[in-house]
Amino acid sequence: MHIEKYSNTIRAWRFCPMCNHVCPVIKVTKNEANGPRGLALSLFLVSEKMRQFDEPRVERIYQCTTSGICEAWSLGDYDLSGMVLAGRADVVDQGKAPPSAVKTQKNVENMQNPFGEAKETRSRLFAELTEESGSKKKAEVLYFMGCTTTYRQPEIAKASVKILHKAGVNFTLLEDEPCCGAPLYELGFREHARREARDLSQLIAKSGCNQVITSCPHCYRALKEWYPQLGVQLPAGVEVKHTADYFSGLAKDRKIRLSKRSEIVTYHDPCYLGRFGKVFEQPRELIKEVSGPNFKEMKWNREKALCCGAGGGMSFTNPRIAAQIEATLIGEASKTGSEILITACPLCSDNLASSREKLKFQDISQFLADSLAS
Amino acid sequence: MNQNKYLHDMMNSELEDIVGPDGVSDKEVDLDAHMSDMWYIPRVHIDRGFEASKPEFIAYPRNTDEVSRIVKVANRFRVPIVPSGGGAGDTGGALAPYGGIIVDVKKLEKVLRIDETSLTVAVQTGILQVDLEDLLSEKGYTLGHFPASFYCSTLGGFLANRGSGVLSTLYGKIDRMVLSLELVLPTGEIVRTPPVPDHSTGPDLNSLFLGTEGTLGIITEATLKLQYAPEVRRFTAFLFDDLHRALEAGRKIMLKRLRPCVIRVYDEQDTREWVKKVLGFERSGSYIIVGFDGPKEMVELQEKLAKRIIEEERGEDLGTKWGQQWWDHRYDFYFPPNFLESTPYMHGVIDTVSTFSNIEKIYREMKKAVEGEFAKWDISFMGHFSHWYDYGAILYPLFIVKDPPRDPDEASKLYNDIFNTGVRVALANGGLVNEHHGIGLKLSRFMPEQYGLGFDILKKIKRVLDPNNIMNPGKLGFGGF
Repeated sequence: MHIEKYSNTIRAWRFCPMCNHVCPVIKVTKNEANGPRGLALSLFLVSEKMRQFDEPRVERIYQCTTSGICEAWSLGDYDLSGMVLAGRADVVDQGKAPPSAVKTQKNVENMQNPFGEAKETRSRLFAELTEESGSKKKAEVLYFMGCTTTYRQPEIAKASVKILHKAGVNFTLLEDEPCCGAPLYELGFREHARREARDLSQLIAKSGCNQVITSCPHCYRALKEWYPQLGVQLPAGVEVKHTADYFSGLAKDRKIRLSKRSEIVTYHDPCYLGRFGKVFEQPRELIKEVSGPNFKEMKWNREKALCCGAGGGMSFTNPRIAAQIEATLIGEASKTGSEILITACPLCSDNLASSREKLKFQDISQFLADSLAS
Repeated sequence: MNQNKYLHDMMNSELEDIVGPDGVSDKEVDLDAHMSDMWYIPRVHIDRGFEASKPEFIAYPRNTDEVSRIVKVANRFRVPIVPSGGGAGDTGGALAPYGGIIVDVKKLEKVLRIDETSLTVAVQTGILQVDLEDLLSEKGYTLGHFPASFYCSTLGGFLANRGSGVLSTLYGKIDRMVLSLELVLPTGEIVRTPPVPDHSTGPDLNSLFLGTEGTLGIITEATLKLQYAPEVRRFTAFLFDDLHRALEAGRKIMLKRLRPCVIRVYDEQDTREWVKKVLGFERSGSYIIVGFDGPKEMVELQEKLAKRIIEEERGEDLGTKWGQQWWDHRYDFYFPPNFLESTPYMHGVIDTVSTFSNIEKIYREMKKAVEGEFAKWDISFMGHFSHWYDYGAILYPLFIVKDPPRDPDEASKLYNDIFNTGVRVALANGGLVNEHHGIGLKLSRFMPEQYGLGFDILKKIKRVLDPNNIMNPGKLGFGGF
């Protein structure tokens, strides 16, 4: 079983309640089975063959944002979110994935995106984005939009392309951009994720790029961390960066110039970009260049930043819990007195966009595109 | 149809009617999460592949009225009710050995009122202490309650067990912070105690319920004293050649009526093992922390007076760096890998409290008895003295057996035998069964020994208030279900 690799984490946490207080899910549901202790105990019982993956147990395993916030508060080398992802892989191997997860997987299989949206949407966006410069087959930089950006937050892609043009970057996009496989991996479909990874890796090779940049921390984590775990190597010499990191380089090299703005703003560290990708300072440097002292940190930031609720496949499997988690984040952001909550993840943006709060939400690419000096 | 199934479904339906379909669960995965707390005995059974007892339902009430209605349903169906908060106890107090309904109070988490004139807060009891303290600190206040389970225990858990925080030497045990309580009685009525406790309008009703571990009702709301966040809070570490001198220094600080927020005296073995492991302090002797907080001038004066006493007892001043190190890392002791529940070891804490005349003797007698009787298990015994009163202090002795029996029944017997030895040494020398972890199932058997005829009074009160014996049966020495 996949969870065997996590027996150290399971044994250490099956009786320990110490990180329940930061678990975004248990904070909403109050159900002990949702916390790190409850999940570790549940998987321990399965690994000892005292329990089976019945439907409610599977439901709990999928009620985790895999935010890693519990790990950020813990000591020692434990991988609680990895444990949960492994548990899902075991669930899938036994053919017991919940219907919402299976639907997402089928969407990728049939429509090449987890939302089941028509491919034409992507084609139209591609046409719009390449209208100005034309489509190149090969370039130094490949901008990989990702499914959530494409189908849910296309303004992020438009903003990113605007910045790249402004900086004079030699970049391209994939005309038939596939799913990177991240949602499949997060939902436990590792074999399918591996196939998607291989396909994308080949397309990256064909593009001739030496850098892949993406607006999505989930795509970013998949390319950087999960592809090697799945045995898929990107072409030699290809570096993967999140756009926040890449744009920070453009600003430092004076390839883009940013004008000052007066709104009070705050920044939410997306879980997969911050805690897992360790990209904390680059987006802050960019925002501070624009907002200076009007940038206000939330109480919990960087390694201990709150979770928006959408990660770990929760937006597909548990949207109601995801929305409740998001409310906590918005409450914390509001305490800073900010007018704009900036993030760097289309999934966060999509989840936050469903809120009726007065607070304005922007991806960092949108915030920067709006702040480009002429 | 099976009669039990029929009753189960009826009860489920009635509970859903109260708390909604999302507010009740009978799913095995959810019940499993309530099979264990930090107590060794359920853990060792689960670890060895054995089942532990579970409730039949978990209900998540959203307000006091829902708690009351759930209790009434339990009375009609004659099933046990077990109140539960963060599940961080180590006595089995919130486990369900007789099944029934666990009432998880964590949705009762509202801060209802802060009275900034009187400096009090009215709060529901399902709130995690970390969340309450965070909210208060944003407003410049503190409750002053920082127990080891700060992150994972609810206010209700502290009230039900009369818990202590690490700064209890100044701020008091949680029960000393209480002005008034709201609770649901075992028969479902909702009771409020008078608004302030310091009166001569008969006995203090709060005291009847505080520390009763859910056996006389479910505390749903409390009004507590607050403090202004201190201007200065500073901890200094000292090293003594031996424990006796360190204890003497602590005793004299208390008897001179200085008001430290903490005195924490580690014995030589605790210093050698845990202080070294977690705080990185590598010298031998008895390590102590003395802390003061409050206005700067008062802190400085008290530090000066305390240091004079410590110098007389030949303590070496290690400075504030090592004191701050303890404060900054005080919770590191309880996270894996330091968290002993993460290890295969058997361990337990036989905490007790007594006067200054007795407490050192209890420590030495308990250590001798436990190490002597259980020598073949290569048992280690160490302790610290971490909460101080005007008349005495607590002893927090930790025993560890690194290679306990494989068989869970044998392991449980060994564990209970160690407690029998340790607790009886405390009782024979003027100590109590427990100081701040509570009794639960773990120490129930000692209640008649502790109280003698006084326990009959408690049993009579229990019978009157809980005629169906549904409230947390088997705990606190009261009968099982």
